[in-house]
Amino acid sequence: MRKYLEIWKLEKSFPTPKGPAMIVKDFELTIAEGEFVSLIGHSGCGKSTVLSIVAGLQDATAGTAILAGREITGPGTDRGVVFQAPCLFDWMSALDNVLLGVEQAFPNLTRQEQQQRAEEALDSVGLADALHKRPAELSQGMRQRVGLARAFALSPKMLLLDEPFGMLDSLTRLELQGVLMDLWSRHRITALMVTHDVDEALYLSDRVAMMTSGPAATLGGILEIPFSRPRQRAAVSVDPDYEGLRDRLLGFLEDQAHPPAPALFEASKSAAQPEPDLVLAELGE
Amino acid sequence: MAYVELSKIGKSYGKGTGRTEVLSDVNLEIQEGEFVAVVGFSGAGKTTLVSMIAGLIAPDAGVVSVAGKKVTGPGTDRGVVFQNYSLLPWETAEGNVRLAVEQAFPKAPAAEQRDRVARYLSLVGLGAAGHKRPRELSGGMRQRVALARALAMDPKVLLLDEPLGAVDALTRGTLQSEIARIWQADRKTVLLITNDVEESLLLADRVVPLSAGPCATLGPSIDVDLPRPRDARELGKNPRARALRAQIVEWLLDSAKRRRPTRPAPAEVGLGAAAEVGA
Repeated sequence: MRKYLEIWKLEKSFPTPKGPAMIVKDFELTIAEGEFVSLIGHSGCGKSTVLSIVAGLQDATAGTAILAGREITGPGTDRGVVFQAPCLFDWMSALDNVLLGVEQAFPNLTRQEQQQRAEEALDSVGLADALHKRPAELSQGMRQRVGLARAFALSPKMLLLDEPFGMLDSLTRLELQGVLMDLWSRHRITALMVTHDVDEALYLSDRVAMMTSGPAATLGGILEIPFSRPRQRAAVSVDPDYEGLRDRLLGFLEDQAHPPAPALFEASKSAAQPEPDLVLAELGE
Repeated sequence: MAYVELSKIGKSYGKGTGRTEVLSDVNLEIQEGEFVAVVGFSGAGKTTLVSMIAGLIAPDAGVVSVAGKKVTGPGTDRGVVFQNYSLLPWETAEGNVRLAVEQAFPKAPAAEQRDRVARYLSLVGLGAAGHKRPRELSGGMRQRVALARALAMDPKVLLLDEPLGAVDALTRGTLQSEIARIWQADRKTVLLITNDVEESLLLADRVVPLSAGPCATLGPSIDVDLPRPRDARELGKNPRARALRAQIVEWLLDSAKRRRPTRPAPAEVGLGAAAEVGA
């Protein structure tokens, strides 16, 4: 496997009066070019911390992340990020929101070419008739479509998605998973998506990385998703392998939710960390 | 003849060029004692549909009838539970339910009315909170009051309009089981409106998808042939439930794709007029 993104011995801790609170420790994950990997785990375990380090929005305390042979040292237009909230500028139209990123990523294109690229991106998420609408005039689902268009318009090396559909109702969530699937199938951009929706992870991913619960969260295992591409949702959900894979993921999450009390005690004792760190780890995400 | 019948219903909002056809050629039959769920996207016209059966708005075309009579206005034969509870804030939980009971049973002796109010409050698990006002209650508890109010009128038809859309996931699970339990006990004719396919499979005898708007219409009726009582966790593992879920979801997503093609014809792109016709 050709390593495209390599996360190596990643560690993130925050100083507290009682010593460092270890959020993520020794997290390692390698993603091949054109691969779609999901990262699942409980709320607060540190999934988003890993993602935001790869996005360059946070620094690692130790370890590093290397994308296409270059160490990540800060944010950049080579990575398209989609957050849970679409984070649009509310005084700008959908088109201008997308254009802002395009101007940054492609400063050498003519104004017209930039405009065309932004329009195409919005067109490809089904918003061709809403280019000039402001976020307030768009439904929650349409706003997140703009978020997806903005990320794909950059033609980034990598796509980073942080629970992109977490705020949507269940039906719109399914609809946008389809939009993402279509876009991704067309562009095959290497992707890392944080989610805690097991069905979402199974539908979209080539592999699912399972993260243990904090403190000192790390990689708990990786599940290969064998469904062929292009994928149809209906075919995936009735695939004979589906239930077994789903059980594996749910089983992992369940085990992580109820760690045996003595183990938890041992862990915190051996790391010489007092209990409040558990609370801090929760805040970490 | 079906107990609740919608025949060729159409409804538009707005005037002139701003006019939008919300529902178009909607036909639905619900038998007495049947639990039917209509599942659709937000903004598709689900609430419009329920409001017409409730008699709160009139259709532009077609006829709504309940128990063989044309619906011309609201009445106590139809109990409605809305997503936003719609409780009177200055009345207590008990007062909110009592108001409905007085409307539905004006000739009943006061003691009987009181008993009825108390019985339905305790049915939804609020026996001890009758003296509280809505703002002193959590979202889930307010929705219980609204449910008690609808049930206490002993309506022929219960209309549930996304009753659990505003409560958290944990409360939703609890209230879903309670709705199932109450329905098992007195088998009212129920129409549930929801955007949650899982919820429809958990509760309904039959699911009818509503296509994405504008001009939303109902799709093929799908029988939920799963044994009761149903458990949310079990449904996740049940292959039959998964197949039903896939069928409903597929139909709904297809309807949304037809509405919003991802690759519109080139002529449509970039035209000022086209940009104004927003979804």
